[in-house]
Amino acid sequence: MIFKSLIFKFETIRDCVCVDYFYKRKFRFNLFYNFCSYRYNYILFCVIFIKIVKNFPYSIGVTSLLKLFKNMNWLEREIWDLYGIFFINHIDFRRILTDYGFYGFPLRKDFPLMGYYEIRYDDFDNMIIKEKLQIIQNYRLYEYTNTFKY
Amino acid sequence: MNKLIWNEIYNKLQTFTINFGPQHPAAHGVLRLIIELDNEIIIKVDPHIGLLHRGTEKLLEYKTYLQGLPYFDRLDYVSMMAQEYCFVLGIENLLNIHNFIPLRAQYIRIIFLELTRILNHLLAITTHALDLGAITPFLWAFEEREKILDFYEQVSGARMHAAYIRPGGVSFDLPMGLLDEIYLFIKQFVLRLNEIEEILLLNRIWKKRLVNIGVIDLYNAKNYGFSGVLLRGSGCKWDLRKFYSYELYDVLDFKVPIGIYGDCFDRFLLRLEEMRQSVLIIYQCLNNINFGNYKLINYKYSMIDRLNMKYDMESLIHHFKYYTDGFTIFPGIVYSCIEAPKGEFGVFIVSDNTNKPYRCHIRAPGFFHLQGLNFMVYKSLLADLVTVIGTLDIVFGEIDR
Repeated sequence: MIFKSLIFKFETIRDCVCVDYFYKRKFRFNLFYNFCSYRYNYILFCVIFIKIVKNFPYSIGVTSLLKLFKNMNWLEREIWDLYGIFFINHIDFRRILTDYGFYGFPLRKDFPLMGYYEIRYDDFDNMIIKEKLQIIQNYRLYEYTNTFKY
Repeated sequence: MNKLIWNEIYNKLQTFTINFGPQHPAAHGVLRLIIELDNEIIIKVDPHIGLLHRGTEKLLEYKTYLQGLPYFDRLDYVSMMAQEYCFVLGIENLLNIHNFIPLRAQYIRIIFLELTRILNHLLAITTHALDLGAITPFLWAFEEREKILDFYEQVSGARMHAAYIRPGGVSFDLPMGLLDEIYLFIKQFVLRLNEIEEILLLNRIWKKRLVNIGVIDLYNAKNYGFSGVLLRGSGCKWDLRKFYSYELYDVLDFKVPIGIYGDCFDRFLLRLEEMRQSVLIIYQCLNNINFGNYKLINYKYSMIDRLNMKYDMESLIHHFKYYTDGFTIFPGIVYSCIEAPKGEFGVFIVSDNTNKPYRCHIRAPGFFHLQGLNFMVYKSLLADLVTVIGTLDIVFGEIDR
């Protein structure tokens, strides 16, 4: 409640962003909260560092801010959908952006760009079928790390 | 029997659930709603989004900064240049070149940002009217939209997905006589706007469908993270062009209209007034625009002229490096936000020392607006749902990303 008190007067949360630092950092996920005060006209960035549990696909739970800000409902659902970060005390925890029955968390760095499954319409059976993706050549990624300063 | 249990059974008998399918014309795209109805009164709306999810954020991580730029046109496909400008602003802030953009480029940008605002609001108002049964303003407005899209075509070669605003300026200079054409367009556009206003403003059906429908109080508007017309309609004076000024908006003279009641009719009036203010801004830009460079001279960050490339080895190298390797950006985090026609459009870029963004998050205004649909239509009639969806001005390219 201190966020909404007269000293800070954070009336809204504008955005909630998750960044996946795969193996580069000790804490894998960083959660950026972007609080905003209309009265005093300033914004505040808060960062939460989240560790991943070993041999377990989901992260440690983060407390939901749904009671303070109503728009955290979809924002947290989105982060759960794309990153697999679990939020405690969330009332409506479903996937939001991806398909019904999607497998995996697509914005993690270890998720391939092509995905795991492909969906197509089968003319012979007259139905939509979902099958494992088969690609002849993997996506080629070239690293262009800058070695000098301009 | 316990009263609570009785209520539960009674409610179960009373309400029924219907599906407002993904292909409904009033849904402005692919919106699926699961609506719980008590006779004709809406109890609960559960929007299912993501039917147009293309994974833009994932794709941007695999593209260089310049290759990622055209994806932003495709997000909100009725206000194209505003979005690509937001991405460019983020890149410029990361590169620390946002103070060195030439004046002419800034004026060109503002002219096209405001034309984009008109483009968007014309569609927003008139498709809203179309949903409620008034087809005439739709036809009139699309004639005007056609002219604005013509300006897009003259300046960039593409009618919709322009990719015109680039890091360090714009991609081409204005063609000869375009400013005169814009002036002539602006001059007659105000009259067309009056016609649209005349047919809608005092229309009895239009008023009955809009006044006191979809009321948002100020607390909820702030708490749901609304922005743009939806926040201003509820009476909060908040415009990023004024309070977090980018480009030359702090020099230009314009007013920010705010509403009183926060209903659909207020928001309709605000959209009309914002178009008039956009016209005023374009007038000022046309008067003040100067000759000069339209992009940065530093060819590490902006593209080189093709003519130089034919005569100069250095230019050839720059050209090749710019279009293949792109430019690398130091590690940094930036959140750039602009007042897009629909609301606050933000881009959150995390750069590591490569030529691709490490993470690029897009804050779409429609995502937040659609979230408030449930409380806006609570205990209203089913027909008002269409009005509220129309006034939210949602486009699924940006919500689903």
